[in-house]
Amino acid sequence: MTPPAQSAVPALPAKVPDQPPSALVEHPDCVACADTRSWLLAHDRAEATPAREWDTTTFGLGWLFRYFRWGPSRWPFAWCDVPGAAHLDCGVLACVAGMVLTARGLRVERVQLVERAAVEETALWRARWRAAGCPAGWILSDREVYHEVLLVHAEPEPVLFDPTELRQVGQGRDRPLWMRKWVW
Amino acid sequence: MSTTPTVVLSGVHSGPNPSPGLGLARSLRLAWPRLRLEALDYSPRSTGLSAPEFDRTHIRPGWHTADLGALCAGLVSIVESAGAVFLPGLDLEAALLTERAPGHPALLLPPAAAFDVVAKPGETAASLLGLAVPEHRFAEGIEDAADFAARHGWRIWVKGPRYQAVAVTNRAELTGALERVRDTWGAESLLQRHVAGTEESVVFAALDGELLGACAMRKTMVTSEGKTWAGAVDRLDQPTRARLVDLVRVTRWTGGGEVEFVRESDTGVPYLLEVNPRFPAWIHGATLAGVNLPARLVAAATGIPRHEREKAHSSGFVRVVEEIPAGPHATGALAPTHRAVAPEPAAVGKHPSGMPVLSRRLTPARPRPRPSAVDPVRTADIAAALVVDPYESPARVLFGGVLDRGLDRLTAVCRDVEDATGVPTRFAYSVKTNPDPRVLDAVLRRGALVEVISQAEARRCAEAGFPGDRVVLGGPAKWWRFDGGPVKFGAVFCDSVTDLERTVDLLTTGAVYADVVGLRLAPPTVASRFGIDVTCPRTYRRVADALRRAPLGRVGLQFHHAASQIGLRAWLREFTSAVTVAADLLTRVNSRARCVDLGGGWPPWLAREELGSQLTRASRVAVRELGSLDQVLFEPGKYLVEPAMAVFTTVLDVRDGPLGRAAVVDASIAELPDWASHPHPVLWRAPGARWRKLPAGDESVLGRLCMEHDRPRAGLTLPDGIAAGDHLLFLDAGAYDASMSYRFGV
Repeated sequence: MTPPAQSAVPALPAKVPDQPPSALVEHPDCVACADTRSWLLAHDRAEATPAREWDTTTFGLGWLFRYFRWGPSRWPFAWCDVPGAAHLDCGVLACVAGMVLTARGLRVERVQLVERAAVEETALWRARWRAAGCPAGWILSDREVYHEVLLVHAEPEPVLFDPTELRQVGQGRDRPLWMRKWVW
Repeated sequence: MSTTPTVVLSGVHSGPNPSPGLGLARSLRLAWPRLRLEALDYSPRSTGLSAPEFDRTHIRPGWHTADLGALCAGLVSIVESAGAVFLPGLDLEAALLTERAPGHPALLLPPAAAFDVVAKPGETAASLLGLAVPEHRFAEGIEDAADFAARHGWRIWVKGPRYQAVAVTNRAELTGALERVRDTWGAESLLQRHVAGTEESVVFAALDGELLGACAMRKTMVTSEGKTWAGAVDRLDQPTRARLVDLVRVTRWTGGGEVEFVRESDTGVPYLLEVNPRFPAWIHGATLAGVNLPARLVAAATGIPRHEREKAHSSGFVRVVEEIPAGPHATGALAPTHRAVAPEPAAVGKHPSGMPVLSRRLTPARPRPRPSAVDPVRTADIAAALVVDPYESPARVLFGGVLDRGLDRLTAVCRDVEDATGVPTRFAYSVKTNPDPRVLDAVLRRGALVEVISQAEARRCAEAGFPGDRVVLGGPAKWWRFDGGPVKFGAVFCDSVTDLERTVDLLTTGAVYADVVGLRLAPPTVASRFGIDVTCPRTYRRVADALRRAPLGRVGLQFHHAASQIGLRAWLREFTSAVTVAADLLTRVNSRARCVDLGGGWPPWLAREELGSQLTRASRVAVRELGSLDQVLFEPGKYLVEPAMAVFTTVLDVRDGPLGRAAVVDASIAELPDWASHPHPVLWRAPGARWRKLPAGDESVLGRLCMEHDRPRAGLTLPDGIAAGDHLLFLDAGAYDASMSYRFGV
């Protein structure tokens, strides 16, 4: 599946993000950064099952959520920050999932979205990010939020995969207001 | 006869575990607002009888009072006199009607052959539907059931013949579930392996072998009993539809039906759970999603024209709880005298339609089982151990022949693994399981190793003649009361990062020497207080740092979690995960493992081939992940000694009591402290007679202590002639029953 052109989405958001997708810092000569990447790849290999081959809903990444929950991350965020973190935001999760899926041999592209949200949700999230001392710039307005996902070139067709929700984008929800496939 | 088209629906109870009648009524009402709907059930406590969807209600006599033939005839008469068609909501009622009124055109029921095809475990139906059937067994008693449960990692279901499925994870739950299912339904239980995965259903309607429609449903919310509370409805894929057409055609199915299956997470294999010969309770959820199967069935069976097109209100459904005015039958459901003696409200009851009573009536009485002969090898073992009767009772008896054969088997397993993998393989007997000097001596003479968890056990083994390099030291308190050494071990496995650091200090100071030093790996997804979980990112980092600070010489990895508790499949999965991550970790710190210890907890019933195969698979995984190895170890304990000892007892009294008939013996749970973990087979001998094995049943052997729970064995049938002075022999008492026994009440 190719992300639809902007004209195909229901309505344009008030703000369109212009920054590139999040990228984790890799400190030069940092053993901990390398350990983290190594742990992620080894753990993913350890979780391999026959059923994962055709799981284009979660891509067998449920194990990540044994250790992390979705929540505020303090940027800049490095690979060596991952083990000590209790929460990871959608940018970190997209980076981590992207690296793991790429190591499996899948072609993965980063995709940026703007999604609808309820006023009650954004109020809650804004307070949560504020309490954690993290900027909440990803909350674009009371009803619109910035989000990062992956376009995974799986068989039989590409899938717009949301590693934060552990499902395909749009499964049981509204379509995004805006999306952009990022070409590095 | 009414001129208005009429449908009679049975099974209308609407509780946490509802019957489908009310959902059927709502679906039919949606299709035909003026259709006459009559509810039929067998108790005024069936709550759906009060629902406004029904134009008339019939409360039939309970199954316990009535003649079954008369009940069926009465039901048919109700249907015929109303000129109605009948849709059943109760499995057993449907089966009974099919038998008593076969082929009746107004009863929309599957034929008898269809009931045979779908009878649990449903192998024929599964074959037609292209589904696998989970491993299963019909339980003959607690020994048999515990054996099945242990083989499947204590994650099994105990199922009634038609209804009820109880999840079981331990021995106490298993005992309770077997008793509950048998007491409720009368028939023996079906045991089935738990399949972890996503539960799905296919609901369908058919008439005379022709499929009228079907759809799929994925449960999105379930109750604590696993019953659907919300679901997502979808169209049926073409291959599934084709197989369903086959099932319906072959069985000449009429009526509603539901196929419940689960898709295993690890393998993606779909396993059949059951096929219900009626519409499911969530049937109205399918109707709301645009597939009104009850209406299709009634339209096809009666020719009533449908006015409304099916309309999808949503692709899913949720259940809500709703209060409605109680009908007159419901307000009078409790007799005044009942209310007077039972101040608390009457329990809702899971089965107000009386299915347990009907099931018990339909289950033929079984003859009382008799004690059976003991096999000749066991007889010879007992004869060799009890050359003369023990001078005292109770007494623990060692079967030397069983011990020797166990050691032969372990030696052969080592050889099998070594032949299959090329890696030298040895076993280390787990001393804590039974430190009897006779056992240690037998192990020593075989040239095997021992595994100890304390310095005291290590000294005991040294006194028994084991050199230090044949001793494997593990456990969380291995340095408790350490005298400062120097001391030598074959291998030391560390239970935590701090244990690793302490051990490295002792090695560095020369207080301890070990050929192999390593980590005990914790199982990644099974809760355990032991070992180091290298799959946790923080622990991974800590271990990596520790090993960088203090590189080890010959590194070992130990994985010790009882396969008798989690099953062989889960054990291998946990081992594979742990060793895969550990291998990566060792590579990160420029180290590699030379020795892998596969631990203990191997179930005593594993045959040589089964244990050898499991250890071979694990060793191959280890070699794949770690590279070539110098040695593979494993640590059998109860595998070797559990069957090698028994407790000899004398019957003191035989009584009838609140727990049924029971024999009181001079042994107790002090001599059988591990009574709760496995059911001991019991042999009985009258004076001068041969030993005979007691069969499964409802009777017990009680201990000598004044303690309510001193009931070392339940679920037996005592022989008719058992009397004070007879002897009982509790088998399989050679493991923790021996090492943990205590003096009490003597």
